[in-house]
Amino acid sequence: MLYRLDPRTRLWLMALIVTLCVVGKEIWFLASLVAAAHLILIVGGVSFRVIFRTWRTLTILLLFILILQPLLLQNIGEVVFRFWRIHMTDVGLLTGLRYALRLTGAAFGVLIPLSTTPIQKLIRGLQKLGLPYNWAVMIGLAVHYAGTIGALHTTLREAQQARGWDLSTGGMIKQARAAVPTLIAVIIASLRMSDSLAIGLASRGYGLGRGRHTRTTLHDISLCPSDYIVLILSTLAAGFCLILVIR
Amino acid sequence: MKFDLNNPRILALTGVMTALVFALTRPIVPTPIGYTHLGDVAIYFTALAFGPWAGMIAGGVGTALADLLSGGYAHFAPLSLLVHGLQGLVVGLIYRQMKGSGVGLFISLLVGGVIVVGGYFLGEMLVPIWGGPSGAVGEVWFNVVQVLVGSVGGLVYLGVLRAYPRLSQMGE
Repeated sequence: MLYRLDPRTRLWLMALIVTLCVVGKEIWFLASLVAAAHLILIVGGVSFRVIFRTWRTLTILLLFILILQPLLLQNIGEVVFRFWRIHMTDVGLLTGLRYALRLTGAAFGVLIPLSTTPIQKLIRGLQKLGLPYNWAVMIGLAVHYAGTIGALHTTLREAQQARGWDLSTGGMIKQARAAVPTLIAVIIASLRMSDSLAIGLASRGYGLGRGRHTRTTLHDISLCPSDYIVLILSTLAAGFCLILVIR
Repeated sequence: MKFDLNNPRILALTGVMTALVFALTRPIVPTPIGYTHLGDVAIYFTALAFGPWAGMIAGGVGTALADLLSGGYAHFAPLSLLVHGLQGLVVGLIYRQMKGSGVGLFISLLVGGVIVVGGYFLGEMLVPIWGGPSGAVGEVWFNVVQVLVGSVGGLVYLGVLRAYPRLSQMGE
């Protein structure tokens, strides 16, 4: 269902959830936000694989917050758990849980537009919201060429590895220094690529109109009745939550 | 050349440099909050070679895109946009002000590093969805390592300048 909505509607849903995650303080409220984001994703038809993958990425991060936050707040609140010189207080544990829930809610809220919209459609949505045309083209180019440059980097690394180049030994700094020759090669190749790209853009008349002409698109996006229903209902629900939070 | 995205040459260069930052900002070592990568190398290179505006756009947009498509760290995108955008801008400004001298290179890399470490620390400390104080404290060390790794961007710049002399004519 989410897939049929306009990218702008999905961005709005994201904005509402992230805003509520920032302003919300109560544990139950933040937990219900996390649940609501999951519900929207599941009802919207996002696969469980995507949701699991996000949880897997977040796990270490969340454990880190849940453990470190109580250690930072050892002197506030009542001690619930004591080990050697470490005190875990109720305030510390609850604060950790609050930060973890906020982060989870925001991560899944952002997933609503990201997991359901191709990046080019998102850029088109942002353009309709006021992103200038040349910025949209630039971001589109970046997304497109990142794959090409990434593949180029891999090829160059493999070519160097075939010659006995070893990146697995030494500390991080040493490894980074060892990567310099491949990075130089990738950058020079990218600069050459930008030359031919500039000729391609210029030959298609890019920059001649300087924004004075109206540009047309082949597959445009538009808001349909279901978008308006989702926009109104979600805004009302978020408004209600906001009143609840402020009181 | 004046920085104007309506110029196809500048647009192509900025787009490709943003793509370079994006491609190199791939997780190498996942840290508790986020990951360490070579993206800073590309940001430093862009800012040193093409000036503050290209550095700002490539740094900010490139890392934000990488966050958005990383699967899990997407909500860090605004923070990366700000911090790495500022890093690219300031590095480019300082290097240009110091007329491209060796001291200028050193100072700009140093200030760029301070901006990244300090920017992430402040952002995570102040905005609750980015991990809060525990996230900020835990992240510092990893950011320091990332900045140190990224500072080879200075070496990369000098290397490209020597191997590809046309670079000095390509800038803004």
